[in-house]
Amino acid sequence: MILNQPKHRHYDVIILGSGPAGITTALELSKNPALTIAVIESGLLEPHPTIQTLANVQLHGDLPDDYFPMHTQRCFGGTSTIWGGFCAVLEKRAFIAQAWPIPYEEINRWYPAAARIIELPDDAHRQPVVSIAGTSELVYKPFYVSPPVRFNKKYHSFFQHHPRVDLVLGSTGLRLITGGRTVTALELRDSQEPQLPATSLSADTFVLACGGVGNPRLLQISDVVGQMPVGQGLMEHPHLYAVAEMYLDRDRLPVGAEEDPQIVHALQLSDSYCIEQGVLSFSADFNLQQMTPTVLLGKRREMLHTPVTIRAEIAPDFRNSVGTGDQRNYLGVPTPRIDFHYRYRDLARESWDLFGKALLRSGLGRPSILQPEFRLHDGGHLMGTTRMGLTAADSVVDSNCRVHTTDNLYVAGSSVFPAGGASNPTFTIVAMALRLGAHLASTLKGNAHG
Amino acid sequence: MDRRTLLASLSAAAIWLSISSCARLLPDGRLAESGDLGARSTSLTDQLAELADPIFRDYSEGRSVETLQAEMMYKGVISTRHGINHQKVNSLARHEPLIRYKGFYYTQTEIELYALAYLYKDRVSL
Repeated sequence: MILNQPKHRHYDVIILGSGPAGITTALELSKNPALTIAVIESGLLEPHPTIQTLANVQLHGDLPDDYFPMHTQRCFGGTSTIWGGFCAVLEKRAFIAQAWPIPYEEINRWYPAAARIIELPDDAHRQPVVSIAGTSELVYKPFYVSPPVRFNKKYHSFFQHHPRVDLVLGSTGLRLITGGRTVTALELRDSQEPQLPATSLSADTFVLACGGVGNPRLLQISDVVGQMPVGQGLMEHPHLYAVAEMYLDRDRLPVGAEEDPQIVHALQLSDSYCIEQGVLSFSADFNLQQMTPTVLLGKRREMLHTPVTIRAEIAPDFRNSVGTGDQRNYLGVPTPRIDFHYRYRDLARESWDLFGKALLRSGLGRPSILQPEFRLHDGGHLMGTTRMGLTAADSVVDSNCRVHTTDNLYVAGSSVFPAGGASNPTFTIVAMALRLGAHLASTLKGNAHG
Repeated sequence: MDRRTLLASLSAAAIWLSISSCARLLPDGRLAESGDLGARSTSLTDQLAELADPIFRDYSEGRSVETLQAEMMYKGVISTRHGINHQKVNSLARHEPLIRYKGFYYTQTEIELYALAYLYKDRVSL
Protein backbone atom coordinates (compact mmCIF):
# COMPACT_ATOMS: atom_id res chain seq x y z
CA MET A 1 0.00 0.00 0.00
CA ILE A 2 1.04 3.62 -0.46
CA LEU A 3 0.68 5.45 2.82
CA ASN A 4 1.46 8.72 4.57
CA GLN A 5 1.96 6.96 7.90
CA PRO A 6 3.20 3.45 8.64
CA LYS A 7 0.39 0.92 8.95
CA HIS A 8 2.26 -1.12 11.60
CA ARG A 9 4.57 -0.22 14.47
CA HIS A 10 6.83 -3.11 13.55
CA TYR A 11 7.86 -4.64 10.23
CA ASP A 12 10.02 -7.60 9.40
CA VAL A 13 12.13 -5.42 7.14
CA ILE A 14 12.41 -1.65 6.83
CA ILE A 15 14.03 -0.30 3.69
CA LEU A 16 14.99 3.34 3.87
CA GLY A 17 14.87 4.95 0.42
CA SER A 18 12.71 4.28 -2.63
CA GLY A 19 15.20 4.67 -5.45
CA PRO A 20 16.21 1.80 -7.75
CA ALA A 21 18.16 0.06 -4.96
CA GLY A 22 15.37 0.28 -2.38
CA ILE A 23 12.57 -0.66 -4.75
CA THR A 24 14.50 -3.57 -6.24
CA THR A 25 15.36 -4.91 -2.80
CA ALA A 26 11.68 -4.71 -1.86
CA LEU A 27 10.61 -6.49 -5.05
CA GLU A 28 12.88 -9.42 -4.35
CA LEU A 29 12.13 -9.54 -0.63
CA SER A 30 8.39 -9.59 -1.32
CA LYS A 31 8.81 -13.06 -2.84
CA ASN A 32 9.04 -14.37 0.70
CA PRO A 33 5.36 -14.55 1.68
CA ALA A 34 6.19 -14.43 5.38
CA LEU A 35 7.68 -10.95 5.33
CA THR A 36 6.08 -7.59 6.00
CA ILE A 37 8.11 -4.81 4.44
CA ALA A 38 8.07 -1.03 4.77
CA VAL A 39 9.81 1.20 2.26
CA ILE A 40 10.30 4.63 3.85
CA GLU A 41 10.66 7.63 1.55
CA SER A 42 11.33 11.16 2.75
CA GLY A 43 9.76 12.63 -0.39
CA LEU A 44 6.33 12.30 -1.92
CA LEU A 45 5.01 10.84 -5.16
CA GLU A 46 6.24 13.94 -6.97
CA PRO A 47 9.20 16.21 -6.15
CA HIS A 48 8.47 18.77 -3.44
CA PRO A 49 10.72 21.85 -3.32
CA THR A 50 11.05 22.00 0.46
CA ILE A 51 11.70 18.29 0.88
CA GLN A 52 14.19 18.44 -1.98
CA THR A 53 16.36 20.77 0.13
CA LEU A 54 17.10 17.75 2.34
CA ALA A 55 19.46 16.70 -0.46
CA ASN A 56 21.55 19.84 -0.04
CA VAL A 57 25.15 19.39 0.99
CA GLN A 58 28.14 21.58 1.74
CA LEU A 59 30.62 21.04 -1.06
CA HIS A 60 34.38 21.34 -0.80
CA GLY A 61 36.45 20.49 -3.82
CA ASP A 62 35.66 19.73 -7.42
CA LEU A 63 31.97 18.82 -7.52
CA PRO A 64 30.05 21.76 -8.98
CA ASP A 65 27.36 23.57 -7.01
CA ASP A 66 24.61 22.19 -9.25
CA TYR A 67 25.78 18.60 -8.72
CA PHE A 68 23.17 17.54 -6.16
CA PRO A 69 20.20 19.35 -7.68
CA MET A 70 21.08 17.59 -10.94
CA HIS A 71 21.61 14.11 -9.61
CA THR A 72 19.61 13.67 -6.41
CA GLN A 73 15.88 13.38 -5.98
CA ARG A 74 13.96 13.14 -2.72
CA CYS A 75 10.79 11.55 -4.06
CA PHE A 76 9.33 8.13 -4.86
CA GLY A 77 11.61 6.56 -7.47
CA GLY A 78 14.66 8.56 -6.39
CA THR A 79 17.19 9.23 -9.11
CA SER A 80 15.34 6.92 -11.51
CA THR A 81 12.98 9.86 -12.03
CA ILE A 82 15.77 11.80 -13.74
CA TRP A 83 18.37 9.29 -14.95
CA GLY A 84 19.48 9.06 -18.57
CA GLY A 85 19.28 5.27 -18.85
CA PHE A 86 22.84 4.35 -19.88
CA CYS A 87 23.71 0.85 -18.74
CA ALA A 88 26.56 -1.61 -18.93
CA VAL A 89 27.85 -4.41 -16.74
CA LEU A 90 30.68 -3.64 -14.38
CA GLU A 91 34.15 -4.43 -15.68
CA LYS A 92 35.80 -7.61 -14.35
CA ARG A 93 39.08 -5.81 -13.76
CA ALA A 94 38.37 -4.90 -10.16
CA PHE A 95 37.26 -8.46 -9.39
CA ILE A 96 40.39 -9.95 -10.93
CA ALA A 97 42.40 -7.45 -8.90
CA GLN A 98 40.43 -8.58 -5.81
CA ALA A 99 39.17 -5.10 -5.02
CA TRP A 100 35.79 -6.79 -4.51
CA PRO A 101 35.66 -9.53 -1.88
CA ILE A 102 33.23 -11.58 -3.98
CA PRO A 103 33.76 -13.28 -7.33
CA TYR A 104 32.39 -11.58 -10.42
CA GLU A 105 29.92 -14.43 -10.89
CA GLU A 106 28.15 -13.34 -7.71
CA ILE A 107 26.99 -10.22 -9.52
CA ASN A 108 26.89 -11.62 -13.03
CA ARG A 109 24.20 -14.16 -12.16
CA TRP A 110 21.83 -11.32 -11.26
CA TYR A 111 22.31 -9.26 -14.40
CA PRO A 112 19.63 -11.12 -16.44
CA ALA A 113 16.95 -10.34 -13.85
CA ALA A 114 18.24 -6.78 -13.51
CA ALA A 115 18.02 -6.39 -17.29
CA ARG A 116 14.33 -7.28 -17.14
CA ILE A 117 13.71 -4.66 -14.47
CA ILE A 118 15.40 -1.85 -16.37
CA GLU A 119 14.22 -3.24 -19.74
CA LEU A 120 17.54 -3.88 -21.41
CA PRO A 121 18.05 -6.33 -24.28
CA ASP A 122 19.52 -9.72 -23.42
CA ASP A 123 22.78 -8.78 -25.11
CA ALA A 124 23.42 -6.30 -22.30
CA HIS A 125 24.40 -9.26 -20.12
CA ARG A 126 24.91 -12.05 -22.67
CA GLN A 127 27.52 -10.19 -24.66
CA PRO A 128 28.64 -7.23 -22.53
CA VAL A 129 32.00 -6.94 -24.29
CA VAL A 130 33.08 -8.12 -27.72
CA SER A 131 36.68 -8.93 -28.58
CA ILE A 132 38.22 -7.29 -31.64
CA ALA A 133 40.24 -9.34 -34.11
CA GLY A 134 43.92 -8.53 -34.01
CA THR A 135 44.14 -7.04 -30.53
CA SER A 136 43.92 -8.33 -26.99
CA GLU A 137 44.42 -4.87 -25.54
CA LEU A 138 41.12 -3.32 -26.61
CA VAL A 139 37.54 -4.54 -26.51
CA TYR A 140 34.30 -3.16 -27.86
CA LYS A 141 31.76 -2.45 -25.14
CA PRO A 142 28.26 -1.31 -26.03
CA PHE A 143 26.35 0.76 -23.47
CA TYR A 144 22.66 -0.01 -23.70
CA VAL A 145 20.03 2.61 -23.04
CA SER A 146 17.18 1.77 -20.73
CA PRO A 147 13.93 3.50 -21.86
CA PRO A 148 14.87 4.90 -19.13
CA VAL A 149 12.73 3.04 -16.65
CA ARG A 150 11.11 5.36 -14.10
CA PHE A 151 10.80 3.10 -11.08
CA ASN A 152 8.04 5.27 -9.59
CA LYS A 153 5.88 4.78 -12.68
CA LYS A 154 6.73 1.15 -13.29
CA TYR A 155 6.20 -0.02 -9.71
CA HIS A 156 3.46 2.33 -8.51
CA SER A 157 0.86 -0.37 -8.96
CA PHE A 158 3.02 -2.94 -7.16
CA PHE A 159 3.17 -0.78 -4.05
CA GLN A 160 -0.42 0.35 -4.30
CA HIS A 161 -1.82 -3.16 -4.27
CA HIS A 162 0.71 -5.29 -2.41
CA PRO A 163 -0.76 -6.45 0.92
CA ARG A 164 2.59 -6.94 2.68
CA VAL A 165 4.70 -4.13 1.23
CA ASP A 166 3.99 -0.60 2.40
CA LEU A 167 5.46 2.48 0.78
CA VAL A 168 5.46 5.22 3.42
CA LEU A 169 5.87 8.68 1.91
CA GLY A 170 6.88 11.95 3.55
CA SER A 171 8.81 10.40 6.44
CA THR A 172 12.50 11.15 6.84
CA GLY A 173 14.77 8.75 8.68
CA LEU A 174 16.63 10.75 11.32
CA ARG A 175 18.75 8.07 12.95
CA LEU A 176 18.98 4.39 13.76
CA ILE A 177 18.43 3.31 17.35
CA THR A 178 20.81 0.55 18.34
CA GLY A 179 21.40 -1.80 21.22
CA GLY A 180 24.72 -3.58 21.04
CA ARG A 181 25.05 -5.15 17.58
CA THR A 182 21.35 -4.85 16.89
CA VAL A 183 19.47 -2.02 15.27
CA THR A 184 16.11 -1.92 16.98
CA ALA A 185 14.29 0.99 15.45
CA LEU A 186 14.37 3.88 13.03
CA GLU A 187 13.55 7.36 14.25
CA LEU A 188 11.37 9.23 11.78
CA ARG A 189 10.22 12.79 11.31
CA ASP A 190 7.39 14.01 9.11
CA SER A 191 9.03 15.72 6.13
CA GLN A 192 6.18 18.23 5.75
CA GLU A 193 5.31 18.79 9.41
CA PRO A 194 8.73 19.00 11.09
CA GLN A 195 7.21 20.50 14.24
CA LEU A 196 5.53 17.17 15.01
CA PRO A 197 7.41 14.94 17.44
CA ALA A 198 9.63 12.27 15.99
CA THR A 199 8.28 8.75 15.88
CA SER A 200 10.02 5.42 15.80
CA LEU A 201 9.40 2.33 13.78
CA SER A 202 10.89 -1.02 14.73
CA ALA A 203 11.91 -3.94 12.56
CA ASP A 204 13.90 -7.13 12.66
CA THR A 205 16.05 -6.08 9.75
CA PHE A 206 16.97 -2.72 8.24
CA VAL A 207 18.24 -1.88 4.77
CA LEU A 208 19.71 1.52 3.96
CA ALA A 209 19.09 2.51 0.35
CA CYS A 210 19.60 6.26 0.59
CA GLY A 211 22.42 6.71 -1.91
CA GLY A 212 26.12 7.45 -1.74
CA VAL A 213 25.65 10.33 0.69
CA GLY A 214 22.54 9.30 2.61
CA ASN A 215 23.81 5.83 3.56
CA PRO A 216 27.04 6.92 5.28
CA ARG A 217 25.37 9.95 6.81
CA LEU A 218 22.75 7.85 8.57
CA LEU A 219 25.47 5.56 9.92
CA GLN A 220 27.46 8.56 11.12
CA ILE A 221 24.48 10.28 12.74
CA SER A 222 23.49 6.97 14.39
CA ASP A 223 27.06 6.43 15.63
CA VAL A 224 27.37 3.16 13.76
CA VAL A 225 30.93 3.89 12.72
CA GLY A 226 33.54 2.45 15.07
CA GLN A 227 36.76 1.83 13.18
CA MET A 228 35.01 1.47 9.85
CA PRO A 229 35.77 3.92 7.02
CA VAL A 230 32.18 5.16 6.90
CA GLY A 231 31.87 7.95 4.34
CA GLN A 232 35.45 7.56 3.13
CA GLY A 233 36.60 6.68 -0.36
CA LEU A 234 33.89 8.54 -2.26
CA MET A 235 34.15 7.77 -5.98
CA GLU A 236 32.59 9.30 -9.07
CA HIS A 237 32.89 8.80 -12.81
CA PRO A 238 34.56 11.81 -14.34
CA HIS A 239 33.32 12.38 -17.89
CA LEU A 240 35.37 14.27 -20.45
CA TYR A 241 33.06 15.17 -23.28
CA ALA A 242 34.48 15.36 -26.82
CA VAL A 243 37.93 15.81 -25.41
CA ALA A 244 39.71 13.96 -28.21
CA GLU A 245 39.11 12.53 -31.68
CA MET A 246 39.98 9.28 -33.31
CA TYR A 247 39.91 7.57 -36.66
CA LEU A 248 38.65 4.01 -36.56
CA ASP A 249 38.65 1.16 -39.05
CA ARG A 250 34.91 0.64 -39.16
CA ASP A 251 35.21 -2.74 -40.86
CA ARG A 252 37.01 -4.15 -37.83
CA LEU A 253 34.52 -2.85 -35.31
CA PRO A 254 31.93 -5.45 -34.25
CA VAL A 255 29.05 -3.05 -34.76
CA GLY A 256 26.06 -3.26 -37.06
CA ALA A 257 25.71 -1.43 -40.34
CA GLU A 258 23.05 0.88 -38.94
CA GLU A 259 23.27 3.19 -35.97
CA ASP A 260 21.12 1.81 -33.15
CA PRO A 261 19.73 4.64 -31.01
CA GLN A 262 19.59 2.24 -28.06
CA ILE A 263 23.34 1.67 -28.06
CA VAL A 264 26.25 3.96 -27.21
CA HIS A 265 29.47 2.54 -28.65
CA ALA A 266 32.66 2.44 -26.64
CA LEU A 267 36.13 1.00 -26.78
CA GLN A 268 37.76 -0.05 -23.55
CA LEU A 269 41.15 -1.21 -22.45
CA SER A 270 40.60 -4.92 -21.89
CA ASP A 271 40.46 -6.20 -18.32
CA SER A 272 43.57 -8.32 -18.79
CA TYR A 273 45.49 -5.40 -20.28
CA CYS A 274 44.46 -3.15 -17.37
CA ILE A 275 45.71 -5.74 -14.89
CA GLU A 276 48.94 -6.17 -16.83
CA GLN A 277 49.57 -2.43 -16.99
CA GLY A 278 48.31 -1.71 -13.47
CA VAL A 279 45.73 0.82 -14.63
CA LEU A 280 42.04 1.25 -13.94
CA SER A 281 39.13 0.77 -16.33
CA PHE A 282 38.64 3.29 -19.08
CA SER A 283 35.94 3.82 -21.71
CA ALA A 284 36.14 5.89 -24.89
CA ASP A 285 32.74 6.53 -26.47
CA PHE A 286 32.49 7.03 -30.22
CA ASN A 287 29.79 7.42 -32.86
CA LEU A 288 29.31 6.05 -36.37
CA GLN A 289 28.30 9.22 -38.10
CA GLN A 290 31.19 10.39 -40.28
CA MET A 291 33.43 8.53 -42.72
CA THR A 292 36.55 10.36 -43.91
CA PRO A 293 39.48 9.35 -46.13
CA THR A 294 42.76 9.28 -44.24
CA VAL A 295 45.97 7.31 -43.95
CA LEU A 296 46.70 4.58 -41.43
CA LEU A 297 49.71 2.29 -41.26
CA GLY A 298 50.68 2.88 -44.86
CA LYS A 299 47.25 2.70 -46.45
CA ARG A 300 44.76 5.33 -47.50
CA ARG A 301 41.23 4.36 -46.68
CA GLU A 302 37.82 5.57 -45.63
CA MET A 303 37.70 5.61 -41.85
CA LEU A 304 35.31 6.54 -39.15
CA HIS A 305 36.19 9.98 -37.78
CA THR A 306 34.60 10.56 -34.40
CA PRO A 307 34.80 12.74 -31.34
CA VAL A 308 35.63 10.84 -28.18
CA THR A 309 34.09 11.10 -24.75
CA ILE A 310 36.09 9.53 -21.97
CA ARG A 311 34.65 7.96 -18.87
CA ALA A 312 37.20 6.73 -16.39
CA GLU A 313 37.47 4.86 -13.17
CA ILE A 314 39.15 6.63 -10.29
CA ALA A 315 40.70 4.87 -7.37
CA PRO A 316 39.03 5.16 -3.98
CA ASP A 317 40.81 7.88 -2.06
CA PHE A 318 39.91 8.23 1.59
CA ARG A 319 40.48 11.97 1.42
CA ASN A 320 37.30 12.07 -0.72
CA SER A 321 34.65 11.77 1.91
CA VAL A 322 31.19 12.40 3.28
CA GLY A 323 31.11 13.95 6.74
CA THR A 324 29.28 16.41 8.96
CA GLY A 325 28.76 20.01 7.84
CA ASP A 326 28.36 23.02 10.09
CA GLN A 327 24.79 23.83 8.99
CA ARG A 328 21.48 22.13 9.66
CA ASN A 329 18.55 21.36 7.39
CA TYR A 330 14.98 22.32 8.23
CA LEU A 331 14.54 19.06 10.17
CA GLY A 332 17.41 20.05 12.44
CA VAL A 333 19.80 17.45 11.04
CA PRO A 334 23.39 18.52 10.24
CA THR A 335 23.87 18.79 6.48
CA PRO A 336 26.48 16.54 4.93
CA ARG A 337 29.86 17.94 4.05
CA ILE A 338 31.35 16.49 0.86
CA ASP A 339 35.07 16.74 0.25
CA PHE A 340 35.92 15.63 -3.24
CA HIS A 341 38.91 16.25 -5.47
CA TYR A 342 39.22 14.38 -8.74
CA ARG A 343 43.03 14.51 -8.82
CA TYR A 344 42.40 13.32 -12.30
CA ARG A 345 44.24 15.26 -14.98
CA ASP A 346 47.43 13.21 -14.91
CA LEU A 347 45.42 9.99 -14.75
CA ALA A 348 43.37 11.08 -17.78
CA ARG A 349 46.50 11.81 -19.80
CA GLU A 350 48.23 8.57 -18.81
CA SER A 351 45.12 6.52 -19.56
CA TRP A 352 44.58 8.20 -22.92
CA ASP A 353 48.23 7.73 -23.89
CA LEU A 354 47.97 4.04 -23.03
CA PHE A 355 44.71 3.75 -24.92
CA GLY A 356 46.16 5.64 -27.91
CA LYS A 357 49.16 3.35 -28.12
CA ALA A 358 46.93 0.29 -27.97
CA LEU A 359 44.71 1.75 -30.67
CA LEU A 360 47.54 2.54 -33.06
CA ARG A 361 49.43 -0.69 -32.35
CA SER A 362 46.33 -2.70 -33.11
CA GLY A 363 45.92 -0.96 -36.46
CA LEU A 364 42.35 -0.28 -35.44
CA GLY A 365 42.68 3.46 -35.57
CA ARG A 366 44.52 6.65 -34.85
CA PRO A 367 43.96 8.74 -31.72
CA SER A 368 44.34 12.48 -31.49
CA ILE A 369 46.13 14.02 -28.58
CA LEU A 370 43.98 14.93 -25.62
CA GLN A 371 42.93 18.55 -25.66
CA PRO A 372 45.42 20.61 -23.66
CA GLU A 373 42.69 22.03 -21.48
CA PHE A 374 39.55 20.14 -20.55
CA ARG A 375 36.72 20.49 -18.13
CA LEU A 376 35.66 17.57 -16.02
CA HIS A 377 31.99 16.71 -15.87
CA ASP A 378 30.55 14.61 -13.12
CA GLY A 379 28.56 11.50 -13.88
CA GLY A 380 26.19 11.64 -10.93
CA HIS A 381 27.50 8.28 -9.77
CA LEU A 382 28.33 8.43 -6.07
CA MET A 383 30.03 5.24 -4.99
CA GLY A 384 32.20 3.68 -2.32
CA THR A 385 31.16 5.42 0.90
CA THR A 386 30.06 2.21 2.65
CA ARG A 387 32.45 -0.03 0.75
CA MET A 388 32.29 -3.81 0.75
CA GLY A 389 35.23 -5.72 2.17
CA LEU A 390 36.45 -8.46 4.44
CA THR A 391 37.08 -6.55 7.66
CA ALA A 392 35.78 -3.57 9.59
CA ALA A 393 39.23 -2.04 9.44
CA ASP A 394 39.04 -1.34 5.72
CA SER A 395 35.37 -1.61 4.81
CA VAL A 396 31.84 -1.04 6.09
CA VAL A 397 29.79 -3.97 4.81
CA ASP A 398 30.59 -7.64 4.35
CA SER A 399 30.08 -9.70 1.21
CA ASN A 400 26.34 -9.91 1.96
CA CYS A 401 26.12 -6.11 2.35
CA ARG A 402 25.66 -6.38 6.13
CA VAL A 403 27.31 -3.64 8.19
CA HIS A 404 30.23 -5.39 9.88
CA THR A 405 29.47 -4.19 13.41
CA THR A 406 25.78 -5.08 13.36
CA ASP A 407 23.70 -8.23 13.03
CA ASN A 408 20.71 -6.82 11.19
CA LEU A 409 21.67 -3.70 9.24
CA TYR A 410 22.30 -3.92 5.49
CA VAL A 411 23.18 -1.44 2.76
CA ALA A 412 21.95 -1.38 -0.84
CA GLY A 413 23.21 0.78 -3.67
CA SER A 414 26.50 1.88 -5.18
CA SER A 415 27.82 3.05 -1.83
CA VAL A 416 28.92 -0.57 -1.28
CA PHE A 417 31.07 -0.61 -4.45
CA PRO A 418 34.72 -0.94 -3.42
CA ALA A 419 35.69 -0.15 -7.03
CA GLY A 420 33.51 1.68 -9.49
CA GLY A 421 34.74 0.60 -12.91
CA ALA A 422 34.13 2.82 -15.91
CA SER A 423 30.51 1.90 -16.54
CA ASN A 424 27.31 3.59 -15.44
CA PRO A 425 26.37 1.87 -12.17
CA THR A 426 22.57 1.47 -12.29
CA PHE A 427 22.63 -1.97 -13.93
CA THR A 428 24.96 -3.20 -11.18
CA ILE A 429 23.02 -1.39 -8.44
CA VAL A 430 19.88 -3.25 -9.48
CA ALA A 431 21.73 -6.58 -9.78
CA MET A 432 23.26 -6.14 -6.34
CA ALA A 433 19.90 -5.15 -4.83
CA LEU A 434 18.36 -8.32 -6.27
CA ARG A 435 21.19 -10.30 -4.73
CA LEU A 436 20.67 -8.63 -1.36
CA GLY A 437 16.90 -9.07 -1.53
CA ALA A 438 17.26 -12.75 -2.37
CA HIS A 439 19.77 -13.25 0.45
CA LEU A 440 17.44 -11.66 2.98
CA ALA A 441 14.37 -13.40 1.60
CA SER A 442 16.07 -16.75 2.02
CA THR A 443 17.40 -16.11 5.52
CA LEU A 444 14.61 -14.18 7.24
CA LYS A 445 11.67 -16.03 8.73
CA GLY A 446 9.20 -13.19 9.04
CA ASN A 447 5.95 -12.81 10.96
CA ALA A 448 3.36 -12.16 8.27
CA HIS A 449 1.69 -15.50 8.94
CA GLY A 450 2.09 -15.45 12.68
CA MET B 1 62.44 25.81 -71.71
CA ASP B 2 64.12 28.11 -69.19
CA ARG B 3 66.84 27.06 -66.79
CA ARG B 4 64.50 26.76 -63.78
CA THR B 5 62.02 24.52 -65.61
CA LEU B 6 64.84 22.42 -66.96
CA LEU B 7 66.30 21.87 -63.49
CA ALA B 8 62.89 20.99 -62.03
CA SER B 9 62.25 18.49 -64.81
CA LEU B 10 65.64 16.91 -64.37
CA SER B 11 65.09 16.68 -60.62
CA ALA B 12 61.72 14.99 -61.06
CA ALA B 13 63.17 12.57 -63.56
CA ALA B 14 66.01 11.74 -61.20
CA ILE B 15 63.62 10.98 -58.37
CA TRP B 16 61.46 8.82 -60.58
CA LEU B 17 64.50 6.91 -61.76
CA SER B 18 65.69 6.61 -58.18
CA ILE B 19 62.42 5.13 -56.95
CA SER B 20 62.20 2.92 -60.01
CA SER B 21 65.71 1.67 -59.56
CA CYS B 22 64.88 0.65 -56.02
CA ALA B 23 63.26 -2.30 -57.68
CA ARG B 24 66.65 -3.73 -58.17
CA LEU B 25 67.31 -3.78 -54.46
CA LEU B 26 65.27 -6.30 -52.54
CA PRO B 27 64.69 -6.01 -48.80
CA ASP B 28 67.48 -8.48 -48.15
CA GLY B 29 69.90 -6.39 -50.23
CA ARG B 30 69.99 -8.68 -53.27
CA LEU B 31 69.67 -7.12 -56.69
CA ALA B 32 66.38 -7.79 -58.38
CA GLU B 33 66.17 -9.13 -61.85
CA SER B 34 65.47 -6.44 -64.38
CA GLY B 35 62.31 -8.26 -65.42
CA ASP B 36 60.74 -7.40 -62.07
CA LEU B 37 61.12 -3.73 -62.57
CA GLY B 38 58.25 -2.48 -64.66
CA ALA B 39 55.01 -3.54 -62.95
CA ARG B 40 56.27 -3.33 -59.36
CA SER B 41 57.81 0.12 -59.69
CA THR B 42 54.49 1.45 -60.95
CA SER B 43 52.84 -0.14 -57.96
CA LEU B 44 55.10 1.58 -55.42
CA THR B 45 54.80 4.87 -57.24
CA ASP B 46 51.06 4.58 -57.16
CA GLN B 47 51.05 3.58 -53.53
CA LEU B 48 53.18 6.57 -52.58
CA ALA B 49 51.04 8.87 -54.70
CA GLU B 50 47.98 7.62 -52.88
CA LEU B 51 49.52 8.37 -49.49
CA ALA B 52 50.78 11.82 -50.45
CA ASP B 53 49.02 14.46 -48.40
CA PRO B 54 49.86 18.13 -47.89
CA ILE B 55 49.25 17.71 -44.19
CA PHE B 56 52.72 16.15 -44.01
CA ARG B 57 54.43 19.14 -45.61
CA ASP B 58 55.69 20.47 -42.28
CA TYR B 59 57.05 17.11 -41.20
CA SER B 60 58.86 16.63 -44.49
CA GLU B 61 60.55 20.03 -44.30
CA GLY B 62 64.30 19.60 -44.01
CA ARG B 63 64.09 15.95 -45.04
CA SER B 64 65.05 14.58 -48.42
CA VAL B 65 63.49 11.91 -50.58
CA GLU B 66 66.81 10.12 -50.79
CA THR B 67 67.28 9.91 -47.04
CA LEU B 68 63.71 8.87 -46.32
CA GLN B 69 63.73 6.39 -49.15
CA ALA B 70 66.96 4.82 -47.91
CA GLU B 71 65.57 4.66 -44.39
CA MET B 72 62.34 3.01 -45.55
CA MET B 73 64.24 0.50 -47.63
CA TYR B 74 66.64 -0.23 -44.80
CA LYS B 75 63.70 -0.98 -42.53
CA GLY B 76 62.16 -3.19 -45.20
CA VAL B 77 59.10 -0.96 -45.44
CA ILE B 78 59.30 -0.30 -49.18
CA SER B 79 60.74 -1.91 -52.24
CA THR B 80 59.74 -1.39 -55.80
CA ARG B 81 59.44 -5.08 -56.24
CA HIS B 82 57.04 -5.53 -53.34
CA GLY B 83 55.70 -2.03 -52.93
CA ILE B 84 54.85 -1.05 -49.38
CA ASN B 85 55.27 -3.88 -46.92
CA HIS B 86 52.20 -3.25 -44.76
CA GLN B 87 52.98 -6.18 -42.53
CA LYS B 88 56.30 -4.53 -41.73
CA VAL B 89 54.62 -1.18 -41.05
CA ASN B 90 52.21 -2.90 -38.66
CA SER B 91 54.98 -4.85 -37.01
CA LEU B 92 57.14 -1.76 -36.46
CA ALA B 93 54.14 0.10 -35.05
CA ARG B 94 54.07 -2.33 -32.14
CA HIS B 95 57.49 -1.30 -30.94
CA GLU B 96 58.13 2.26 -32.05
CA PRO B 97 57.59 5.37 -29.97
CA LEU B 98 54.62 7.47 -30.96
CA ILE B 99 55.10 10.85 -32.58
CA ARG B 100 52.68 13.71 -31.98
CA TYR B 101 52.04 15.60 -35.18
CA LYS B 102 49.33 18.14 -35.89
CA GLY B 103 47.15 16.89 -33.07
CA PHE B 104 47.37 13.16 -33.82
CA TYR B 105 49.63 10.27 -32.92
CA TYR B 106 51.71 8.48 -35.56
CA THR B 107 54.33 5.81 -35.38
CA GLN B 108 57.81 6.87 -36.43
CA THR B 109 57.87 4.75 -39.55
CA GLU B 110 54.48 5.62 -40.92
CA ILE B 111 54.95 9.36 -40.61
CA GLU B 112 58.30 9.06 -42.40
CA LEU B 113 56.57 7.03 -45.08
CA TYR B 114 53.95 9.77 -45.48
CA ALA B 115 56.69 12.41 -45.61
CA LEU B 116 58.42 10.41 -48.35
CA ALA B 117 55.13 10.12 -50.21
CA TYR B 118 54.53 13.84 -49.94
CA LEU B 119 58.04 14.82 -51.04
CA TYR B 120 58.05 12.32 -53.84
CA LYS B 121 54.78 13.46 -55.30
CA ASP B 122 55.71 17.08 -54.80
CA ARG B 123 58.94 16.73 -56.72
CA VAL B 124 57.55 14.53 -59.46
CA SER B 125 54.77 17.01 -60.12
CA LEU B 126 57.14 19.97 -60.56
